[in-house]
Amino acid sequence: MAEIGALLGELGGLVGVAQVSALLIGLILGIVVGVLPGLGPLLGVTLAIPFTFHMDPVSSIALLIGFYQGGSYGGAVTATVLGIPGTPIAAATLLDAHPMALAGRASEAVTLATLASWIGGLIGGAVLLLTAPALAKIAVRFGPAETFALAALGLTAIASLSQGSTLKGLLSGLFGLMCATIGTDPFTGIARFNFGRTEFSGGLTFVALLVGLFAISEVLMQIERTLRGWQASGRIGVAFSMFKTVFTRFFGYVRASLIGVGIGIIPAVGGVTSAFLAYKLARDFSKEPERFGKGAPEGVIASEAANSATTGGALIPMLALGIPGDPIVAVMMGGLLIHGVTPGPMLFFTNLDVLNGIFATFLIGALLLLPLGLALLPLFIRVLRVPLDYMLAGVLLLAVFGTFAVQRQVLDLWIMWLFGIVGYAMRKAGFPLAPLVIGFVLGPIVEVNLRRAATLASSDMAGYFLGRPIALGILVLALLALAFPVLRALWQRRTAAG
Amino acid sequence: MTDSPARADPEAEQAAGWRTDLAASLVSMGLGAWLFWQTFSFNVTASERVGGGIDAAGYPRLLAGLTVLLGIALAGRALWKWRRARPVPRGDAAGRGGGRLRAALSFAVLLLYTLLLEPLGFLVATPLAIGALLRIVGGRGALHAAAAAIAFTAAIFVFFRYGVNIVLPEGLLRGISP
Repeated sequence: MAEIGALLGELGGLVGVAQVSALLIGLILGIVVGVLPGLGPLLGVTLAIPFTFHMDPVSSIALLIGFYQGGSYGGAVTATVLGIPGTPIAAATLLDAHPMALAGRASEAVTLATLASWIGGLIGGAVLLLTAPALAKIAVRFGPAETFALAALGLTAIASLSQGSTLKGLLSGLFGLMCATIGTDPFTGIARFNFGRTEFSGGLTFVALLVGLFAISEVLMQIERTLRGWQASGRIGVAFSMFKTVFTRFFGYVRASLIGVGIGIIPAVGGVTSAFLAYKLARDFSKEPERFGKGAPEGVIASEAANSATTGGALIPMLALGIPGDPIVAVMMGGLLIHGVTPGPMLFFTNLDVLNGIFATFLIGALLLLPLGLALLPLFIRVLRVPLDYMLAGVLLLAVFGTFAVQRQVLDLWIMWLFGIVGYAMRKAGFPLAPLVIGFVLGPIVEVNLRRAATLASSDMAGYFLGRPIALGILVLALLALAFPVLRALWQRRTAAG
Repeated sequence: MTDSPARADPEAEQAAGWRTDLAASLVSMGLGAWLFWQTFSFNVTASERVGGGIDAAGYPRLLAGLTVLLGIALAGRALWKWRRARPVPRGDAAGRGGGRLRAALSFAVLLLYTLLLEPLGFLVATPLAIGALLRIVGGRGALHAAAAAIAFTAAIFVFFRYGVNIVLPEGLLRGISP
């Protein structure tokens, strides 16, 4: 206990005014993008990336963590007030929070969602703090074969489990890996796919690719959809009576949070699944399951605690293994790489200050979410009155000038538009975007370690991998991840036929 | 990010998607084949050919080859879907057409904006582009769009110029821009 206290004290000392300010800005703007239907934490983190170039590594990750935590929570406000999820992860929250609002209990629902997000975030942070170092201690012994296998597992899992067909997910991931080969070969310095332009010798600009893929394609999709306004009505405030639920429903909060953090560790599964799983378990364990879907506070607690705790879980494989489990974490990993900080087990030995800064800002962010979420609630409700065309114009301007600001060259804008069109076409054709960005981020790791392993193996690649049981085991898991959708479909068909 | 809006009959939609899948498979095969061919132009010397062929050219060649193979698999899937295809209700096709035109026009404005950003400069090109976008996307009146575009431009200019100290393209106003 004393050790944990000392550690927390040490972590607190690593974070100064600049870092806390970045975190606060991230949290507030993160909640705003979470509240606005159609935006969300991924878009928020993407648009924030260009502004992190001018910050120190801890402030930069603090800003991104703020967006992640705030954005994951913000959707609950919209789900309660409007009955539409501000973000997909708030879909389970909607089931009971909106009926509560319709019954005149909107303040209670929003307060409960904030409390649950707060507790989920804190438990997620605690598990992150306790688990990541232990996992890194194991992973630090990994050689190129194991590291390649881990990256392959991350990529196949996201390709196979993300929305759409596995085949399209794999093609998307391969496209990301191909994009990462543009530029200079990491071993020999040979120019590859640079089309005769020296600007490409450093590879594609991460920010341009990212902003185009996620922000521009999203804006185009929003413009294409039927436009409509939102109108929040009624007064919503803080229901202090809900604070007693922390004691009366303590196990509900903890159970959902542990489910969330556990699901968060698994690549590609994420907040939507954890929220629905926690919701289902809360209903199954309830003495009055018939109240669920009609305004049961336990439903709001379960879904919000789970999806907030998922954020802590999702950071564990990124920090300890260098493998991002979802696109938001992949973007954050890219943000760290920009600063020369490589996530993975070596981070625990080479960049301890940055690592402890990440832990500290995550915990402080989780702590601040409650006072910030409740104190600024009226402001977040007002955000829902912003006209959609103004919102899209604002996003476009931030996307354009955020991308331009990185290198101050118009070529980056053309790359951004190109990937905007690529992202739009991929969405239309049912290709998931997450494997592409994870493939791009993992590309150098996959290539360097595969080529090192190939050099060590000489001409006997199969024999080399067979002689390394951990690498072989991880590759088997990667194959299982690929087979999972097929096995699931067969099982569902058999169940339906039976 | 938002998920795609749910459709009334996902099975029918899946069966109708064979054309898109076939087009995507052709793009994948074409792109993979072109990249595969491009790898032969890399200047890899004999001493750099290590790792059983997985070298500076071999690695992207492997990825390009896999892309072609998966493209072929996607074409097979598209043909399988084509055999099971059923007519799809047309639904709100007209509404979607209007939306697509709006998106295409907006994108054209943005491309034109990128072309003119350096010659005209931020302070001239941005209000024009934002004003046009607000007219296209929000259907705003000319006066309303102009006022909002000027306000947006001023806010972004102040943020970048004085907030994060980044000089935006000056264009026509070079030397007189604040």
